Order: sequence, then C-alpha cells, then structure tokens
Amino acid sequence: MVETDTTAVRVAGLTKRFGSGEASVLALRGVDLEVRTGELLMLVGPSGCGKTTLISVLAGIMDKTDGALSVLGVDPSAMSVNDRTRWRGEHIGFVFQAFNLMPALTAAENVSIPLLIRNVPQTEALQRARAMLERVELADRADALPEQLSGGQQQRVAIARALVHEPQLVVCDEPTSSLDHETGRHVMEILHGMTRASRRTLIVVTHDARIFGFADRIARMDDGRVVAVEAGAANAVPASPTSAGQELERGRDPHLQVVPTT
Amino acid sequence: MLQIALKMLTGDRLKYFGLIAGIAFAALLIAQQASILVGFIRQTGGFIRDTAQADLWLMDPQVRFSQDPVPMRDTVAQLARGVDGVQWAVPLFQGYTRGKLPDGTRITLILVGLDDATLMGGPPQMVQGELRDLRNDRAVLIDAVSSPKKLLMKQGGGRALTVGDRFTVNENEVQIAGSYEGRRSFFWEPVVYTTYSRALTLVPPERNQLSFVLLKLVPGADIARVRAAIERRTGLKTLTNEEFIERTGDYIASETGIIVNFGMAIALGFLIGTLVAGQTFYNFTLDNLRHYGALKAMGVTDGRLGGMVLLQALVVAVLGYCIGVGLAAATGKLMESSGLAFSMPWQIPAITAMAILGVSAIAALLSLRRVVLLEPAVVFKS
Ligand SMILES: Nc1ncnc2c1ncn2[C@@H]1O[C@H](COP(=O)(O)OP(=O)(O)OP(=O)(O)O)[C@@H](O)[C@H]1O
Ligand SMILES: [Mg+2]
Repeated sequence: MVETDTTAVRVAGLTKRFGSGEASVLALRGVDLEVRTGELLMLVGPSGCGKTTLISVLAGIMDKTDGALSVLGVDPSAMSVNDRTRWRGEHIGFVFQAFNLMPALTAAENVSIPLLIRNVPQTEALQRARAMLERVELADRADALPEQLSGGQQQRVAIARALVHEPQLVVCDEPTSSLDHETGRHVMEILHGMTRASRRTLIVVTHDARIFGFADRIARMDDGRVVAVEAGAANAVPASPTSAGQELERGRDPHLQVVPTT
Repeated sequence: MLQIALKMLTGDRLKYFGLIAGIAFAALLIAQQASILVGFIRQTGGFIRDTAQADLWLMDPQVRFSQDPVPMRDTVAQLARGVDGVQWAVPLFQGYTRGKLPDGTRITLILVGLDDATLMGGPPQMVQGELRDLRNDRAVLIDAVSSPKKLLMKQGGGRALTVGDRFTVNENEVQIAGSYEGRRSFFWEPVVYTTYSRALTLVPPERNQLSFVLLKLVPGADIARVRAAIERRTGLKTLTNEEFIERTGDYIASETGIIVNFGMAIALGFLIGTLVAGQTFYNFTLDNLRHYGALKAMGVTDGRLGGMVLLQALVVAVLGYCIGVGLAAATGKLMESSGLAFSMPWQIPAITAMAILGVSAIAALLSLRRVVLLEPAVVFKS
C-alpha cells in the first residue's frame, strides 16, 4: 500500500470494549491517530486512560471493537488468529515493562527466539542474536541467564530480542519504569539509537518524563481518546527550543502535569 | 522452538524432578501391583507344571481347578489306554487330607499318589533321594523348599521335618524318603508325594478314588482326534497342561476376589499418579503461562505452543515411566528371590506405558487448554 510508505499506523474512531452489558468497560472511545513510518511516537496519559489497550490492538494481540485500523497496511483485527500470530512474528517487536525474558534461557537464546519463530536455523539465529547483543553493549553477557543480569541489562536483552528480526513496528509498554532513572535513560538511548538508523516505527508508552526528549512526537491520551499530538524534541533539531517537545521533556508542559508517576 | 520447550522444562530442577518423580511413582505402583497379581495367578499353575510330563489330563468335566478333583471310576485309565494314539495312561491321586507331626502339630496337606509302576507325574527335580525311593516301605516325598515353614513342629518339636523323619497321615505312619524342589504355589498346603496304591491306604476309603488320568500320546498322533475319541469313550474331559493351567488361573482369579483387590490397588496407583503428575504438570504450565503469553505475542502459533507442551509432557512421561518400571522390575527381582509372587510379562510394561502416556496426555491437554485460551495481551500486565 502506498500509504505505508509514510504512514505506519492509521487509526480512526477506534473503540475497544471489555466485557459486555452493565459491567463492560469502554477502554478506547474513538481513537484517531496516525503514526508515521520511521518515527518514535510516545504515548502518554493518566493511568487507565487506555494506552496499553491501544498498543495491544495496534500490535495485533487484542481485537478492536470498532473503528478503522490499518497497521503496516493491514487490519490485524480482520485476520484469523493464526494469520495474525504469524503477522506479529514477521512485523512486530515487543518490549515489556517486566522484560519477560525466559528464565531458563541465556541472553543469546532469549534474543534468538524471534528468529527461531521464523524458522531461522538455530546456529544462525544464535549468531545473529550475539551480534544483536553486541549492539546493545552486552556482548560479554551473551551466555548469562536473566537472573544473573541487572534490570537495565535485562531490558537491553529484551530490546535486542524485539529488534533482532528487524520488525517494521516496535511497541514498548513502559520500557523504563522498572528501571532507575539513569538506567532507564541509557536503555532508551540504546533503543533510540538502534531504531534511528532504520525506517523502523517505534511506539513507546511511558510515564517517564525524563525520556520524552527521545520522542519525535508525543500523543497524549485521556479517557480512551488521543487528545493531543505534539512534536517532540527529537525531530525538532532545527525547530525553536520552545517547541512543545522541549517543554514536555522538561516536564513543564501544563497538559502533562496530570501524568502520575506511578 | 522444541529446544526452548526442553530448556523450559529442565530449567527449574526442582519442578522437573518433581514431575518425573510423580510419573515414576504412578508407573511403579501400576507395574508392581500388576506383576504381583500376575505372579499370584501364575503360581496357581504350579502343581500342573510339576506334573507336566504327560500331554493330556483326563478328568471329570466339573473340575474347576487343579486342587479340585472330582473322583472318577478306577476303570477310566483302562478305557483311555484302549484309544488309538494313546501311548500310555496312568492314574493320579490328589486330595486334601490331614496329617500330624511327631510333636502333635496338626497340618492339612495335599497328598499326591503316583502310578506305582511308572511313577509318572512325579516332581521334576529331586533334592534328596530319588523318585524311586517311593517304592520303599511307607515312603513319602516332601517339598525341600517349603517344608522348613510348612512342616515345622510348632508344638515343641522346635524344628521342621526332614528326610528320615516319620509323621502320620490320617493316623497312618509314613516315612520321609526324600525331598524335591517344589515350585512356589498359590495353594499354601504342603504337597506330599507317595505311590497311588499307598495314597489309597492313607485316605478314608471311598467308592471312587481316581483323581486324574495322565495321558501320553504316540508321537505324531492327531491330538484333536485322540481327545475326541477319549472323551467319547469315557464321557470325561481332556485338557492340555496349558488349558488346565488357564482353567485353574481363571477360577482363582474369578472366585477369590484377587483381581478386584489388585485391580483396586492398580486403579489407585493410576489415580494417584494422575493426580500427582497431572497436578504438577498443570502447575508447571500455569507457572510458565506468562512466558507462553510472551511467545504468543512474539508470533508462536497455538499449534507450535501445543507441540512444546506435548513434548514436555512426553519427555516427563518417558523418563518417569523408565524410572518407575525399572524400579518395579528391580524390586520384583528382590521379591522373587525372597519367594514372593512377582511376574512381569511384557504386557505389563506395555499396559503401564499406555496408562502413563494417557495420564500425561490428559495433563498436557488440560494445560494446553489454558495456553490456547490465553490472551497474548497478558504480556503487558506487569
Ligand atoms: N482485560 C481487561 N478487562 C477489562 N478491563 C480492562 C482490561 N484491560 C484493561 N481494562 C480497563 O481498560 C481501561 C484502560 O486500561 P489500560 O491498561 O489500557 O490503561 P493504561 O493507560 O495502560 O493504564 P496504566 O498507565 O495504568 O498502565 C482501564 O479502565 C482498565 O481497567
Ligand atoms: Mg498500561
């Protein structure tokens, strides 16, 4: 699709309802959003506003309820369960707040999983995993088990895992909120650096004001909707220092003061 | 991906060993109880095997097992001898009777009377003396293996009867002329051999005393035709050794409740095994649900996840099975050498294998259900 050349994700009037009847929760109440190919979009907003739900639907691990959805040119909600699973394996990378590394596997083995899923032979997969670990500055810890790694190191392993199969879209849910500020920043630098070079689209849900500076744009959600999309600092190199992104990065943006730090 | 499944399985040693131990326990219980049952049933054929030099047993059709003879007229041996294709036919007496040891200890014994002329049907292996010593005055043979227990003088004699000792059978004195290597038997009473004619003098007189006729066919004779001829001529029943062993085993199995008792132990083993192994495996999968969710999100299809779970179950089942059946065989060797009933024909490991695979498959499928129903979106829950 021509559209995907410039637009990775296009969402209009997207809704998501959990449950049915009296007890149902309308977590997304008509989200309109466009994510450009190759950009780093941050998704911010108060707890419970629907950030995780939105990226779950975008990444094809949750069905939408209604609305128009196009991710990398297709609507994952329209696919069969197996097709969608394979589509995720091909095109999507995941970074989780809780790292979600397999405790019984070494760092390199963990990183090789997305390649094994795509039937890359094991030796080649491990080679590429090691190369990837080098890029996240963990070449010397390739044979360590997750429990032998610090939180920051584990998240870097998870980033290597999310990128090793070169997905076009990477979704990250609070990638830095289990880490201390310094480590979180370092992890974000690595993630940013690794996606910058490629035309890879990155959506990062975060509460962490210190990493706002990495964003090309920042989408602010509230109560199941995207209420504002503003330019971030990263693409504002030639722009004025008072751009919204700069404000956001310093946590001084009045709109963002409602963001809790939990 | 399958290698990842194996690493997940072995990653947590404690749970891994717990799983294998659960399956091994179930396999052990099933295989061992079944082997003891088969051992008991097999032992019921002991007497027939000891007497198996003949081709056929001729008996009253109402005989239900080897220790249940129905007396026949003495003349039937003669009748059988006249049938074409019969090489020889000899009488055999066999019956329960009372005895008294020198110190006054009372016993019940199985008295066997062998044809005076040929001594056919005697025990195959002598320990002391010879079979023909039965021709000595008052001579009987005792079981060398069981007599220390079964012919023990408990009323003050303080020892068991041995060769040379005398005791009485229905107030008639007999002398132990030799001993034989007895087979372990399901029927507890000691088997004492003597000649046919002496046996008749030792038991209370009755009109008919003949228990069985042992028949040997001429080489090459058509056994079916000869059997039919004998049965027609005598109006009695012929059984081969194997048929008689089977009839005896079937009777004991169906009349004593032994099958029910062991069946319950086996079912219990199966149940406990299912619960222990199934529960452990299910918990193992639940503990890993988060990781399955992550794999699902990253693009592993349900089919492949199913393969992973089934492989894990299979590995645990095979290892547990080998350990369990191995232990059962090892304890079986010990039990056999200490005289307990234990027999493990190939069917037992085979059936145990099917049971264990069944248990594991159920556990795996229940676990798999959870994995398949799992929403990959759980990965974003912290
Ligand atoms: N599986 C679910 N079933 C029912 N309700 C759900 C489910 N997942 C989320 N919700 C509800 O949907 C709403 C949005 O949840 P979501 O997790 O997307 O918020 P969030 O913006 O990610 O919040 P946080 O910042 O706390 O992670 C909340 O009200 C939540 O309770
Ligand atoms: Mg969330």
